[in-house]
Amino acid sequence: MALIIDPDYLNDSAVDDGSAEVFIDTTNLKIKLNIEGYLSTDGVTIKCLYSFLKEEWRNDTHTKNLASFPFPMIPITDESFEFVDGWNFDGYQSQYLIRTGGWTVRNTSGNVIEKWAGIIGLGSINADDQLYYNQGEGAVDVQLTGQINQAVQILRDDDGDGVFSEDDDYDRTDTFTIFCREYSQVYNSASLADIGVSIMDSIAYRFPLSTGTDLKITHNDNAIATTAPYTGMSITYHATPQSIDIGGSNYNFGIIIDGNNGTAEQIYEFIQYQLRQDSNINAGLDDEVNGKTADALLSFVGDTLYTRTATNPAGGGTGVFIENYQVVDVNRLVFVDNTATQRTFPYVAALTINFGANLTADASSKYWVYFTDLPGDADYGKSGGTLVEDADGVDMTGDVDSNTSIQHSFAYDANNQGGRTPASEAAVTVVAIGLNTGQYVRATGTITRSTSNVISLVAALERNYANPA
Amino acid sequence: MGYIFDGYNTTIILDSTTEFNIDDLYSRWKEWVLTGNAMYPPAFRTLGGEPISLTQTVAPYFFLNTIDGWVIRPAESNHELKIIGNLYPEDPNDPLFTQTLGGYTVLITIERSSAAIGYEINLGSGLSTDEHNWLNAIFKNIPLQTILALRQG
Repeated sequence: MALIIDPDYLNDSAVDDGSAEVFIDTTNLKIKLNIEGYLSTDGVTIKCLYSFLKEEWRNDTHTKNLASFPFPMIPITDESFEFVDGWNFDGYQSQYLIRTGGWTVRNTSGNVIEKWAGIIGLGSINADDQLYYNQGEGAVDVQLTGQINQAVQILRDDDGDGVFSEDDDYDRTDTFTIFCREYSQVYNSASLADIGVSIMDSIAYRFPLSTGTDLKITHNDNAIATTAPYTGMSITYHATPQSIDIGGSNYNFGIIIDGNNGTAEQIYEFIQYQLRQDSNINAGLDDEVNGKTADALLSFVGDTLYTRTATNPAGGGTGVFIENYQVVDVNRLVFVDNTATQRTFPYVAALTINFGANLTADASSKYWVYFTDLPGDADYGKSGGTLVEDADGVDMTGDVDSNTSIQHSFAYDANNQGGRTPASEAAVTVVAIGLNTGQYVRATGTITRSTSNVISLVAALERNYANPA
Repeated sequence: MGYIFDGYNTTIILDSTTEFNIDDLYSRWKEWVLTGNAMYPPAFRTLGGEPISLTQTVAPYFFLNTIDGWVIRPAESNHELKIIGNLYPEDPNDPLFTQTLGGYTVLITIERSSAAIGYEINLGSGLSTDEHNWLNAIFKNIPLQTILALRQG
C-alpha cells in the first residue's frame, strides 16, 4: 500500500460495515476512514479526501442524497481545510489516517471546536524509530514508527465558547516539540522556534528531523543502569545559579552533571540514557524533569564534548557544567554557561619523555626538562636555566626509576614562567644522565598545543665511568 | 685530586697539582651533573671502552666539550701537571686548558696511549703470577742493609 493521493482509490460504503475505505455518515455528520481496500496505515492526504467527497456529493453512488446535506469541507489551502456545519471525522482512527495537512472543525454555529495541525518530518529517520512529541503535557508517541506525517490536535473547545480552561478543553497552539531519541542513535528534536513559528494553526508544519548512528554509544542500557561509573553519575537542575571557577574566572551554571570520574564518552552515554527515561532525572530537590522531554544536554563534535543550553524548570539558569570528569579530558570539554557563552579550561598539554634502555637500566639516572628560549637569561645552558613546571606547578625533573617513559602535564594556556608568553609553543631541552650504564644525553623539542608531544632520550651505554671504593 | 666544576663559566678547576686519570675527571663530572647541575652544557663526550676480550677494551677517548666553552684550569701554583688518558678537545682547534688566575707556570703533560687497545686490570700490580713470584724471590735475596731507601705510593 501507499499513501493515497488519488480519489479514485477511495470508495464510500453504503452502510457502516467497514467494507470500503470511507463511510460518509449522513446521520451523525461524520466521515469515517477504514483500513480497507486501498487504504492502509500509509493514509490519505486531506486534499485527496476533500476531492473524493466532492465526487461523492456529485455522483452520490449509494443514493444517500448527499446533495441535500451541507458539504462537509471548505478548502483554505492545499494543506488546510475546515469541517463545517457540524461535520467532523468519526474519531481518532480516521483523524490519524490523514496526511499532509491540518484542519479546523466548526460547529453548526460556526464556532471553532477543534484544530489539528499536520506534522511532517523532513530528514532521514530509520523505519523503526519511534518518534514522540511533547505539547507541554508529556511525551506522546507518534502513531507510526519512522518519519512523521501525522495530524496532531492543538486545540479543543467542545462548546466553542473560546474558553479553553474548562472541562477537557485546551489550547496547545504555542508548544510543540518533536523528538527522535533511539538507543545508539544521534538524538534530534525540533520545536516551533526551529521553524520560525510561535503559534500553530490548522495547517501543515514541516520540521527538520534526522538521525544516524551514534558512534559514542558503546554500552547497552543495562550496563549504564547498573554498573559504575554510570551509577554514580547524576544531573542536578538547580534553583539558583551555581558559580564555577574556570581558568580563574567564575561563571554561572544552572544545570550540573556529576561525571563520577567517568570519561567524556561515559558521561555522554549516561546523559543520553537519561534522556530516554520517562521519569524524573533531576537529582536535585527542585522541580521534576522528565527525561524524555528534557532538552538535550550534551553533544559531541569529533572527540570534543560540548554542553548545550537547556531549559531548567528549577530556575537556576540554562548553562550546563560537568563536574568530576577525568583530568585527561579537560582539553576536550566545552561548557556553555547561563549567558549561552562557551567556556573552556586553559589548555593543558602533555609531554611524554621516552627513555632508552641504558637510562632505564641505570639505577642512578635522572632527567630534567628546561626551557630553551625564554626571554632573558633563564634558559638551558645558563646558570639560571629554568626547569619547566607541570600543570600543578611542580618542576619537570626526577629519577628515571626504571621507567621507559614518563608523562608530564603542561599548562599551555597559563604557564608564564620566566616571561613565557602563555598559549605559545614552548621550546624545551631535555637532559638525562646515569652513572653506570647511561651516558649523558640531551634532546630538544617543542611543547605544542597537543597531548601528543614526545621527546626521546637514548643514552649511549656507559663504559668509562668509574667510582672505585 | 679534587675538581671544581664551574658550570656558569664552563670551567673545570683543579684544586691540586696531583696527576690524575681523565676517566676519574669524567666520572666526577657525571656525579656533579646528577647533583642538580644539568642546566649547563655537557662537559664531556666519550668513545671506546667496549670490551674485546676478557682483559682488553677498545681504548677510551674523552672529548672535552670545548664547543660550548669548557676548559680545564690548573691549580694556582707553579707545577708540573700530568694527566693520564686520551683527552682531546671536541674541536681540534680549541685549547683544552686556560691559564691560572695568578699567572703561574704550569707544565702540562698528557700521557696518551697510542694503542688502540686498552688493558683492563681489575686488581693487583699488573704482573702475572710468574712475574710476581720471580720478583718476590729476588727481593728476598737482597739484604735489607743494602737498600738506601724505600718509597711508598
